[in-house]
Amino acid sequence: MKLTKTFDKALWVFHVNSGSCNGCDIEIVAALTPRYDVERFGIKLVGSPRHADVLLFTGPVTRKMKERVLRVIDQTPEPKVVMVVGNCGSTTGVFYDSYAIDGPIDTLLPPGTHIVYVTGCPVRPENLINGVKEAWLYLEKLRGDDK
Amino acid sequence: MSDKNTYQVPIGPIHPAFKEPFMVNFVLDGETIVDAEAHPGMNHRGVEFMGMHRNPLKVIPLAERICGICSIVHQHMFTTATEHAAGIEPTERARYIRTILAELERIHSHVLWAGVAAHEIGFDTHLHFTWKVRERVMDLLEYITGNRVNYAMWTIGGVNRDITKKMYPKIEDTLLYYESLYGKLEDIFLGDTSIRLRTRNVGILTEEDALRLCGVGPTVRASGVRKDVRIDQPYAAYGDLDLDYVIPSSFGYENTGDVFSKTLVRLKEIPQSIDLIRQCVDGMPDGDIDSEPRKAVLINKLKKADGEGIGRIEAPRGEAFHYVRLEGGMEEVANWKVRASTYNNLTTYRPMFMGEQIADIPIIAACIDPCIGCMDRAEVVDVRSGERKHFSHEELHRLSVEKTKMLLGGLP
Amino acid sequence: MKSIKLPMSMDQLEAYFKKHLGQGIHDLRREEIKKGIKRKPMKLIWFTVDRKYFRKAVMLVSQIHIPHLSVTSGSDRGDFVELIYHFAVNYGHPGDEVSVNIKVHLPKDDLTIPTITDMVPGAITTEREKQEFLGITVKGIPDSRRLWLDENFPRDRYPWRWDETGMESMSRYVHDESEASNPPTAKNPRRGGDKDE
Repeated sequence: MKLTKTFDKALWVFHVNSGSCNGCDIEIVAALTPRYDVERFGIKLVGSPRHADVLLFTGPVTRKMKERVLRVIDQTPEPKVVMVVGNCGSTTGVFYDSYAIDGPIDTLLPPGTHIVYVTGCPVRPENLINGVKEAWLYLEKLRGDDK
Repeated sequence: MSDKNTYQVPIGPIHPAFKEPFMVNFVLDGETIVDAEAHPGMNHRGVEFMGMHRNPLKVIPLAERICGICSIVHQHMFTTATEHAAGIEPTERARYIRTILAELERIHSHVLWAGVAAHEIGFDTHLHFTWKVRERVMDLLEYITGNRVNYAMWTIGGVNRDITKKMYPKIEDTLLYYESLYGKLEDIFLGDTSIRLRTRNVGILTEEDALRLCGVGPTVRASGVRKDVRIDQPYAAYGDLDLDYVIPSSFGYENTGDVFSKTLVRLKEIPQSIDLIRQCVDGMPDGDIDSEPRKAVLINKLKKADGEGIGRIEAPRGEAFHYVRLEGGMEEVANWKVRASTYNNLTTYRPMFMGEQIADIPIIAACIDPCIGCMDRAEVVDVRSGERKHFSHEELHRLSVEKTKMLLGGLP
Repeated sequence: MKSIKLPMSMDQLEAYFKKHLGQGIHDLRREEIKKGIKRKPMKLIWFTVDRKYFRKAVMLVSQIHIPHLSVTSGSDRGDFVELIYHFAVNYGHPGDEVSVNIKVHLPKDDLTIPTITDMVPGAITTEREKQEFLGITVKGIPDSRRLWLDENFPRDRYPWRWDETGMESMSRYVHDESEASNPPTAKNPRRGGDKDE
């Protein structure tokens, strides 16, 4: 898929908590607020997956959330990048042997989805900004020639 | 509410000020709430089950990750309960270090809550202001423990890292910063007319309901209930410290139990925490930070231990509770029950929501400082038409902001 | 019994429960754990009651003052399920609060317990939780729906049980499947601990 010139914009992210401990979620908010202030890079948190370019997933995907996670992935328009935030999103972390966990998230994603892993338990806001940058670099490569 | 508003957003926390997926069902008569019921469980990870497959030292990191905001609370309770069960005494110095960290966490949690509450009624400037000032205590926690959120400080019998004399000036600096800032916070949250309009007489919890529903923490202290584990059944170093129940009537306010009182109690706990940290720093005893630094010996001791213990802590959100049973010869924790503060406060939602308006849902939902996040989606049943409607959180937030604007517009 | 003077001391509490529960009370144990430099004690009382005396025991607690139930913990002890109701007595009296932990043993062939929500309305959350996590039937519970587990979760499986109704076959080990294959043994029905032991 090639992107048109209209895509030359800042990234909008949608945040999905799939059963995380709040640690990463609180750091995502910290990244938005004045100390880190990602909005100065044009990164904006939006209220609907239909507006998003990047999906931020935190948490190891609990049974109750699995279906909803899949639906959000479905609703996000292409091209999209999935950012898996935190160790438990990437590998389920300390929640590795539970009956209530269906994750990690990357095993549930449709094939071909571009994934950026942001590690840390919880992630540091700096690392989060770096993750969005990685997503942006990927999307930039899809840019078409119709400049 | 016209039909075009009845859309559904399928997944939880739409604004990140709300962290976790959670749902409350409402029954409405026009604009008025006549019934409310919470549906938790989206975030059920089976933590207790996992803990019962690991040895106590491996449970500590797991307990820490039950909640990322109160990570100190759960590791504190688990270690206290395990020490009780195994008959291990933490060193005195460790008790003081634990107390300092617990109080620092209380400051960060209450400041964070103030920001979330301000956001709920449409004051995003205050959200950004409180989160900016919160970074100072996060810096201090990082300076002491090495991490911003999950601190890995607790171990059975003590703590992992010391608070040395070299660190005292930086602690004092941060405390002075919050002291100088406190007046401003009070001005914003207690003095501002528009905030008072939105919080006074909203979400009232009577003293009787608070007691009968076994509510805990600032949620019930705002109604005048004297319940505070730090004072009632002192743990860590609280028995040595001088502190009193924070209830509105001690400060010349009425114990109304509304959102305003809850805000007041949380704000007044910030200077109390500052005072407690000073007392701890002044009275810090010398000695080891860990009663058994050799982990292999400790694991062996825990394996042989046979007994049961409880850990009760006054978390920023109220009393929390762990029960641990150890069986002789068994490596794993034989039984572990985790009970966070919100678990008890969930039942207090019902009396608080009754008779309020849809636009007040966000602030009332936030006023118990729910640790299992927010309403991801509120389902609303109109009793007049019997119609079911779904409100997204954004929509509720919009209604809440509109109410603030309307109230402000009505001012002379 | 109407006018109980608060706070009740440990001796008073022990005498109070022993007097009113008679032979229904077993293994009463008192603990005072001294903490801090001032050695202020943390006070606890543990005792077991027969099931038919259980509601009476809770009523005794509720006659002291409006009862504060911290939580109910439960564990599968093999032949029976042990429930512990953790009450806090004397709250509001600095340093005098006593944890009163009431244990009830339920045999596996009759896992029922009467509700206490009429005396302690706040107990509803924990009673619903015990039903779905331990397979106990709480008689007279006002709301017996599930609370934490999803509707698709099997009805005959209970996460805190260690017998055949437990979770061993349902839980998964994300990192390396071979590590999950330690079979349950009769002595310890749980999976055989961690690999590096």
